[in-house]
This record gives sequence, structure tokens and C-alpha cells, in this order.
Amino acid sequence: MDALGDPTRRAIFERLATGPAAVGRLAEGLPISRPAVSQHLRILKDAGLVRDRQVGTRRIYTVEPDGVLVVREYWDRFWSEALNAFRDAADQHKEQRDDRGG
Amino acid sequence: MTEAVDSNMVVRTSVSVPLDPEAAFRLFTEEMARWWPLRSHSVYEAEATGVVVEPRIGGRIYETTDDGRTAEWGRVGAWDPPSRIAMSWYPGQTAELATQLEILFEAEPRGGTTVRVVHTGWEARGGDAAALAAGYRTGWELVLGRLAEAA
Repeated sequence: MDALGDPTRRAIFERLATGPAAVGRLAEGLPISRPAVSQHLRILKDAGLVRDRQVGTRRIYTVEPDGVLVVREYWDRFWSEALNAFRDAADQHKEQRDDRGG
Repeated sequence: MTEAVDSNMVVRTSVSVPLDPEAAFRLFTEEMARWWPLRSHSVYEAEATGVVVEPRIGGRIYETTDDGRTAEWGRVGAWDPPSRIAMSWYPGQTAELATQLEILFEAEPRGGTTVRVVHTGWEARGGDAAALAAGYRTGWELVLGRLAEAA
């Protein structure tokens, strides 16, 4: 399942990342209906990216703190992949230099 | 349990390469397009074809496409060849949302170099998850892959 593969869900997630909000508030900034926003929120919640709590008559959504771990893993992986690519290039560079030298 | 992201989060990664610091520094900065995984680690993804690091304090780091588009990734804050580069980092974002990168080149006793990336400065974006969520806008495929695995 592609929780953040949908542009509207990404927009909702990024909006929630700036602070808690209820469905109505989220729907105000989006060109879709409240039920559609609720549907997207359900998918984000199932993916462990957001959580909700009942406050009076409203349901307030926030980014799941563990969502931070996802982001941290993202950057760990981002830099590991970049540096592994750098090491491959450095190995190649050295081989070429050794060939020329020998 | 904390609701806010720890703004002191530090992401560290390092790799050992068989070059001296001078050669490693040059390969890293002057020939970045040769090794940087542009397809996955760029704003324009498959359309990105080049990366430029302007070698001076205040210099820009940006990617290019064959049809002339550019996307800025950051600005050089410290330029100390062959041992250190510091830069602000905001690929796909504006400079106000920058985090901070430090890239260190340390000589190893046997002749190689350890290259370290230290990624900090999340508080610049308010110290909450917004800072981190911004990371989602680059390398989407990586994130989506990760989420697909988790689901």
C-alpha cells in the first residue's frame, strides 16, 4: 500500500506535520470533500503515519511520532546510498590510476 | 512520549575510500555528477543529468537537466579543502527550510580517507515534524519503497 504515493495524502500529511488539525480544517485547504479527506486520513492512520484523538465533538489528527522514525530512516538510507555510490566511484578512480601507474 | 520531533537529531553516515583526502575531496565536489545517484536522489529524478558544486563560501549546489532547468540543493557555508565542507541543505525546498550538512574527509593511517556526512539543523524548521516531512519531497521512490515494505 502506497500511503504517501497520492499527492492529496502527501498534502494532508505535510499539513499535519505543521500542527494538529481536525478534518474540517484540513478539507478547507483542499479541493476535495470532507468524506474524501477522512478516507485519506484513514489510509495514513493505517500506515502508522498519523494518529487521531477525540476532543469533544471533533476528531483531531496529528503526525504519529513514530513517523519521525520513518523520516530518520529515510535520511539514513539517503546518505548511505549516496556514500556507497561515492565509494564505488572512488574504487573505480583508484583502479584507473593504478592501471596508468603500473 | 513526545509529540514534537527531537530537533537535536543527528544523522551520521560514513564510508571509507581508497583515495587520499585531496583526491577524495576533488572526486566528491568536482565530479559529483559522475557518482551521485541522481535518478533517486534529485528533484527532477530521471530527468536530472548534472550536479554542480560552486567551490567557494556562498557557492550554490544545484542539479541540472538537459533542457536547462536547475534545482538548488543548498549553499556552501564552509569550504576547507581537502578536509571539510559545510552547507545548508534544502533540495526541492526554499532556503528558509534548510537543514545543515557537514562533510568531513579524514585521512586514514594506511592511506585511505574516511568520508563522513553529518546532517543536523532540524530546529531551523521549527523543530517539529514539518522539518522532517520536508525530506519526503526528494527521493520519493525511496520513501515509497520503504512504506511499501512496511505495509
